[in-house]
Amino acid sequence: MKPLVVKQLSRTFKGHKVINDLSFSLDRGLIYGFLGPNGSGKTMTIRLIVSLIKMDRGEVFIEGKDLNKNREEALQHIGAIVEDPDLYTYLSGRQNLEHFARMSQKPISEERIEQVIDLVELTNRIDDKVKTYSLGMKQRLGIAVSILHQPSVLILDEPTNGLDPNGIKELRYYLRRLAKQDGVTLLVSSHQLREVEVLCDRAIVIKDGQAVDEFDLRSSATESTYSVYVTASPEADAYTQLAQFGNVEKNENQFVIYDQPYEQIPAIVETLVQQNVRYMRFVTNKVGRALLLVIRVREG
Amino acid sequence: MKGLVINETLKAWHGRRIGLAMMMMSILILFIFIVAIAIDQSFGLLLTTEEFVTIGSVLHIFIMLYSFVLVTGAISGEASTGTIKQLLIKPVSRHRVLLSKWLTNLVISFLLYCFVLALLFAFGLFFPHVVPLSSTFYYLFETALYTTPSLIFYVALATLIAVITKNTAVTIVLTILPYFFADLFVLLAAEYDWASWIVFAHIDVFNNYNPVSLAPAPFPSMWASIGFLLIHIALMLAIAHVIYKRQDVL
Repeated sequence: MKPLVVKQLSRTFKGHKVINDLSFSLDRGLIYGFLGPNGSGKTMTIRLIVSLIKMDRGEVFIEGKDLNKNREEALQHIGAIVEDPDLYTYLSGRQNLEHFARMSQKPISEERIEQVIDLVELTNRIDDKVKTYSLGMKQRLGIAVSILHQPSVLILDEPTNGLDPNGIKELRYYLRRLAKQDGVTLLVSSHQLREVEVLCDRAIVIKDGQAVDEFDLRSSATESTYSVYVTASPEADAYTQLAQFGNVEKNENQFVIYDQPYEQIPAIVETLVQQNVRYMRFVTNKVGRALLLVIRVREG
Repeated sequence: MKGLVINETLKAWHGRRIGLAMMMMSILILFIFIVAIAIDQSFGLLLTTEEFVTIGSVLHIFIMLYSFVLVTGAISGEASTGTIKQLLIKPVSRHRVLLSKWLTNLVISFLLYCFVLALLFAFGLFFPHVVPLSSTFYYLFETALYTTPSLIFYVALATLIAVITKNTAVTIVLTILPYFFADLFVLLAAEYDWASWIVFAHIDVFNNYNPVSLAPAPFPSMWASIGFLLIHIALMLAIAHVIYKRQDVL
C-alpha cells in the first residue's frame, strides 16, 4: 500500500482553479521534492492533503484511509509543517511536545518524547521557552512535533526558509535520517532547487495546479548540464569560437552558454586556447535536471 | 478530551497570564479594602462585611472582560499566530478542538470569579457583620450563580465572533460593545411590546428577578428567561462549531 495517494484533487479559490485534477502518489521511505514555480499550487496542495482547507473534488488516501471519510484516522499517519514551524513561543520546547502528544490517538510515552528530543538534538535547550530559540532550532522542534506520533508520511513546506547554510545542512541530515532509519516518506516543497536535488530521491513537478512531471533524481544525476561563463579577449573571436557549442549570450562583460554536457567543458577550453583567445575568467555552474525542468515549466 | 482541556488550561495559564490576572484582581481588592478602611475611619460610616462584599462585587466587570480575552486568545489568537495549523493537522476533530477552547476558558473564567468573591469575603471579615457570615457567604454564592448565564452568554458570543473574524482585537471590541451598550438599547426599546424578546433584556437575571428590583422582568418566570438565553447560547455555539468545521485555514 502506498503511504500517500492523491487522486484528481481540485480546488477553486476566488473563482480561480488553483488545484486542477491533481494526482500523484508516494512510495514508502523515499524523499520527494515538490517543485513548481511560485503560485503553481504547492502550498495549497499541502493544505488540502492535511485537511487545513476543504477540497472541491478528489480524494486523498493516507495509509489507505480516506481523508474525506476518516479524517482523524488518516491524519494519524501524517505529520506536517506548513510554511513556518508555528509553535507556542510562550511554552518551553518540552511543553510544546507534551501539548501535541496529548492530541495523539495513540498514547505517547515519555520515552518517545525523549527519543525525538534526542533525534533533533535539542536536549540542552528543551526546557527553555521557544521564544528564545533560533529559527533553526524552531524548525527542528517543529519536526520533532510532527514526527512525535510516528507518522509514515511527513510533509514539509519550504523547510529551509530563513535557515542559514549550516541550518540547511543540519535539516538535510535529520530528514535523511528519518527516511533511512524510520522509513518515513517525505514530501518536501521547496523553491531552492539545488536543495531538492541534493536531498530528494524523486521529484514531482506541478504547474497551474496540475502534476506535469515526476522523475527520479538519483538516476538523473548524470543528466545534469552546465552553464559556462567566460570573460575573454578579443571578444569577437571568443564569441565566434564559443558559438560552435551553442547559443551564446552576452551578459555585461561575459559570455554565457547554457546546456553544456560535462564532457564538453574541456573541448571549450581547448578551442579557446588553440584559437589564441585569452580568457580571464572561466566559470561553470552545474544545472541539475530538477532546475532545468522547472525553468522549462516556468517558461511554459 | 481530557488532554485537550489540559492543553487549553496550560495555554491560558502561560499565554494569557492567568497568574498575573489573579494578582491584578488581588491588588484591586486590596485597593478597595484600603479605600473602604480610609472612608470608614474618616467619615465613621461603620462599613459591614455585607456592604464591603457588595461594593467589591462590581469587579465582576473585569472578570467578564478577562473572559473575552481568554476566549478570543484561544480561538482567534491561535489563528493569527499560526499555531492553529499544527493544531488542526492533528488527528482530533475540529468540534472537539473548539469545544475544549470555549469550555475550558468558560470554566477558568468562572473559577476566577469565584476566586475574586472568596477574596472579597476574606477581606470583608475585617469589617463587623450585622447578619450571620453564613448569610453573606450564601449571598456571594447566589451572586456567582446569577452571573453564570451572563458569563456563558458572552463567552458564547465571543466564541462565535472569534471564529468568524479570526481577529483578536475585532472580537474583543464586538463583544464589549453589547456588554456595555445593550442595556441602553433595551431601555430605549422598553416602550415596545417586542422589547421582552431582545435577548440582552434577559442577561441580568439577578436584577430582573430580584424581588426588590424596580425593573420589570421581561418574562413572567426566571426559568423562562434562562431557557430563552440558553436557546441563544446553543444557537451561537452551534453556528460557531459549523463555521469552525468548514473554515479553510489559509
